[in-house]
Amino acid sequence: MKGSNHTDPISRDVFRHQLAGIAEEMSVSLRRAAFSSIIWHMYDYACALFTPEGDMTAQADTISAQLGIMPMAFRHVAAAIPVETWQPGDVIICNDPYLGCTHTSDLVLFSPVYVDGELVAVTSTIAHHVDIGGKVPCTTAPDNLEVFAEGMIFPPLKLVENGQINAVLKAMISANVRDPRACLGDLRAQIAGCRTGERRLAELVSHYGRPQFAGLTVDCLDYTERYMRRTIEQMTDGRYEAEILTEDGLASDEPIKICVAATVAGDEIIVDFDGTSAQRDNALNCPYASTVSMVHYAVKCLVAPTLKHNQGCSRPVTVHAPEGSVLNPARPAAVSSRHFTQQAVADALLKAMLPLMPDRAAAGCQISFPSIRAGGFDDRPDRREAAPEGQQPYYIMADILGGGMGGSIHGDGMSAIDTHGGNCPLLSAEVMETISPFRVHQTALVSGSGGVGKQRGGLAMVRDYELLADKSVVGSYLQQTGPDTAPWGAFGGGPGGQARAILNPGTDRETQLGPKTVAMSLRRGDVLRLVSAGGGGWGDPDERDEDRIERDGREGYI
Amino acid sequence: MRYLSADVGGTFTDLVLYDDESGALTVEKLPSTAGSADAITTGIGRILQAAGQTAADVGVFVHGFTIATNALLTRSGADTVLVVTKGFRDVLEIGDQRRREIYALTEGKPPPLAARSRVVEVDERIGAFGEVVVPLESAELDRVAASVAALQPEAVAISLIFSHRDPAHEQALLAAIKRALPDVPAYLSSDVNRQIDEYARTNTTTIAAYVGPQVKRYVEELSAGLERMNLTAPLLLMRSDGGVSTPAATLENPAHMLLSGPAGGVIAGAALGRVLGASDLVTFDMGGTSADFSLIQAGEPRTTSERVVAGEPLRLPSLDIETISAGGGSIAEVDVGGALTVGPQSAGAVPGPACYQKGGNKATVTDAIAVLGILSADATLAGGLKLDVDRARDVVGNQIAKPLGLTVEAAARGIVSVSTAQMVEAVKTLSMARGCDVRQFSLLACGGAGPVFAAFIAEQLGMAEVLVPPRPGVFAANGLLMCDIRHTMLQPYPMALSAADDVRIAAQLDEMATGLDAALTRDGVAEDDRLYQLAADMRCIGQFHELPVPLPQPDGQGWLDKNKLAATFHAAHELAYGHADLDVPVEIVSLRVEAIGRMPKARFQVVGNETSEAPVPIGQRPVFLNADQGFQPCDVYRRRELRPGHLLPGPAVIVQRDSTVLVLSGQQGQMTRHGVIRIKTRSS
Repeated sequence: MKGSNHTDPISRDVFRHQLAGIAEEMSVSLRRAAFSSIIWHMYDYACALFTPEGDMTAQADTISAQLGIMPMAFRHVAAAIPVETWQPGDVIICNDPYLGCTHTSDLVLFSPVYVDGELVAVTSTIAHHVDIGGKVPCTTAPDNLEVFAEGMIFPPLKLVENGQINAVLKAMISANVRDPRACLGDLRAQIAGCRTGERRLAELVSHYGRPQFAGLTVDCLDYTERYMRRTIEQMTDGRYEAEILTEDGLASDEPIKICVAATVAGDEIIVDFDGTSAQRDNALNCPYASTVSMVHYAVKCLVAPTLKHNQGCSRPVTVHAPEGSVLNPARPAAVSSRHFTQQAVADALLKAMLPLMPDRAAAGCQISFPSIRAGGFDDRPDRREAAPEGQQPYYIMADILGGGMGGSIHGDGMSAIDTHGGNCPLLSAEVMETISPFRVHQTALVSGSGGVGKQRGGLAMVRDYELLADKSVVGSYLQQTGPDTAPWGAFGGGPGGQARAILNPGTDRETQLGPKTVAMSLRRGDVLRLVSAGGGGWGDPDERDEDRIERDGREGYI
Repeated sequence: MRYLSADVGGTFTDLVLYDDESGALTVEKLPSTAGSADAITTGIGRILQAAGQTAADVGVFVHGFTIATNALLTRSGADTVLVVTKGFRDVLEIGDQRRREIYALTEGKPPPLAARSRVVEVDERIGAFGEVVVPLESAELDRVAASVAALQPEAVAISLIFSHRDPAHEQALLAAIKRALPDVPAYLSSDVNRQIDEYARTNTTTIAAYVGPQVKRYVEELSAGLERMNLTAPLLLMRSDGGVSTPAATLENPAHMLLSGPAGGVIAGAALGRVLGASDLVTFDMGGTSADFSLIQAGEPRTTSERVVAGEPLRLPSLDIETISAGGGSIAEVDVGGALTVGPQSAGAVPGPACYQKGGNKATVTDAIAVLGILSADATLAGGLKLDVDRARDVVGNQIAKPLGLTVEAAARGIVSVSTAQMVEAVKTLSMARGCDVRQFSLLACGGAGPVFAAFIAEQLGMAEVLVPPRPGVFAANGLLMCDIRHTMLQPYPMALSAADDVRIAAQLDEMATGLDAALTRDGVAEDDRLYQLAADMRCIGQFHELPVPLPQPDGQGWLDKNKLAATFHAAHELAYGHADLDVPVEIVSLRVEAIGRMPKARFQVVGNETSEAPVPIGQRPVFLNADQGFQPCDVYRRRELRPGHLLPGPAVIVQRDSTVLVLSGQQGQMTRHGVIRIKTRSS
């Protein structure tokens, strides 16, 4: 840890707000300019600022899983295209899961900030693009075998050079993605976010002067590091282990095992995933950057949940994931459905570190990521009438169900929320039914799905989707479907309810689906039911307050 | 004519009486009486006496209040039963499934406004295009009405899936429930918020039901009190969108009242800006626990179609007011990493800042400005208490200066800097999201603490000037006297623009306007004072976000130039989102009609002719504004002794009963003809 301050503490604390404000302004300008609802409505994007050396100095809090990969992406990008060669007006693009990025759908951009001819900072934006080409609509499919099936791969390239967008790249994108207007529109929004950051950072540098700006930056990073280290120092030294199983359901019947050991030594934490399953022949592998990202997410939840994030948060933490494992796969393993495994990384580490910070921890939560993806022709008469020339519009629909958070010392877990690493909203039934041929028969909490405990787990939810078109291709994906994989209870609390997917429930055609069902061909009237997982309970259920038990009964939570 | 207004806040009730013949303005400030109209009736008595008027002299009485907001904040609203389509019982519990804090594992969700056990499901279904999928049978109507009645609710909210496409099922339910519970207020989502997305519509409707009975009780109690004192002028209530409404119209949709309190300040700000020729403004109202900001562009306050109030999403038009938890009571601390943080915890009014001697023992923003000498050491606070500067020095010294290794004054200045930085970033983000550059804007400061911080904020943001109205502490009450009656109606009208028929649209708009016309008639608005503004919510086909686009008044076939409308939409898109794609076909989502009943309005009065003389300070005192310079002698003026034309070179402090105005070194204040202190932040 670095020693004395370069500036006074007040100037540093004002500066921290200024940096965070710039990241926030990037975020609003990106969102404001976005074309797709996945950014505008679902907030599936992130913005951050960097030093020219690659230290993240501030972020806007949107999707923590995306934010955490940016520093590693920066290192790879800078290794391929040295920062000294970035010119004013350039924007670098990269999405290679094997060069510090996450799945290919998340496009990462960097742009340099120059003041008086000198590189003073770097801005970065990352956004989920609904489709970046590949085998299936929406790009991600858990049964992919290689990353080459997962759409366009951008190595570090100058997407914009001296303010001019690269015409070759633009043409290649247009020819390889399913909705070029959306993809290019959202890229333009990402560039707008970068430009806002550049402009505001340049103003800030001019205000302080370069030496003072650099000194303040170092002080901010050092302060954050000091905050982390002083808090970690309070934890009891030792080695803390945990193991989490998740379903594969595609390449093997053998579950995927995430093994983690967190060693707290003084003011540092070493996180080692030795013993974790080898990479799989499917797209559930988690790129190394995403593994690291989720480690930093989990550590921050316990050590400093309210601290403004910068690279100082990561300095006291070392991560090791064995090469060739699901958490550090080797090219060309497929990775597009990495979110299933990625959430398990956070879950495993939080489980291991549970005894260290019981005040900020929670029991296991939904990491099931229950999702439906559907596509086909919408042949409902009303849609046809509204469309130009009366043709059947092609639709794409994707929805993710939240589940239960684990109980904690502070209370019952939240019901029906999107958990670790993400924070996406539920698709409104009315919006879904308007844009795609489905009818939602129920969107409900699942009684009794919260793990029992002094503080019980949050409730899972259930949603039924009836297909109203003649036929469509539908995928149904989730995990945490069995007793070994359900959300875990803590300190005597019970496990949360298991997730499941059922086709045509309550009929003679009822079929229990496995954790990953790719490309089902559904017909009019078929109903898919998705049930998410409930949160684990916290503490001995016998110690639960009478008031809470009475309320659970009255409100039908149990 | 005399205009009376009352702005009831959490702490104080402000009253203003304005006489448009003499221009006389009388103000009265007294402690609020929570949940009752007592403070208002007492205050009216006092203000009439002070002005030498009687209740019968009052021509209009406009009222802004926080009853609805407080019911939400303290979760003390009505016992509400919610009626929903079968399968959607948990629409409020599930919400949008997002978390407020992405790194907090132990956070809880606020409980829904209608508990799960108070939700009744109905077997019925309307489809996405308004078609009936499951008819609502009369036996089901009876069953639901009986179930609702058995729950003995104080209010009922009814929100069925796709009721915005066809409200027939909701209306049938309302009739059935009214038969069973004739005296219980019931609200339909197709009336309250006729827009797609079941969670936003249902929550907004539930808010209306939740706050409705309290608003009703309050308005009735107030009306009775006014009648007792022979105040027979029409009572108008301030709405969130900056319009006013009659009590009867208010009770039809009480969810319009959620920002009734802060709205007045924004309206007054816009009016004052027009008088001063400053049409682009940021209004800044800072009190004890929070600071409100809003943007006024080209003289018009910005409105927003959706916001969060007390943690609850509310989808109704309201003034675009951003609130951050930074106030005089915000608590300063040094964290484990050695950083100075200010807020979001607040000492509030009780126990309050340490220097108020009401039991507060934490260093607050107010303690910091006391240490710096900005507040007068011999000031008398409300309730006759003296400001205890030594106590402020103690808490700032022990809690902030010592751990940071700073002098007490440097620590106090640090608290002001950090608090200012937070507000500055909030304004930047607000203006960036709205696509404006605030450096071209004026900062209008009101509230007790606003005029203290405005100079710092304007300096940091590079804003050209600060405007401090004559009585910043009661400014919002002025705004209440500058409003028009408003009624709005929204009707879904999904249609590609290419397929739209202008004759049918005109007929639809006419039908909507006729409904609103009846409302204006009921309000007693004369024909000549009625105005109709028409708009269509439009979007690009394939995109999610929609924008309101003004429509011309229909005047026969061919009235709607589709190319022109598309161009207007694309221009609005460019303004809102920074880009526009002219080749993309557009569609209409809904039609909007706003009916405006023009009301007589108060005006800002000229207080006197400009003088070229210099003002005489009442004294000097040492004020610590800059760590490099330490305490510097600073001229102190008394606001009521200032005359138009008086120049106030910084550093200067202007004291007045309801606030303190600070002018920094390098800035210069000047009194305008309207009694406003206009502080230029740049030497140019």
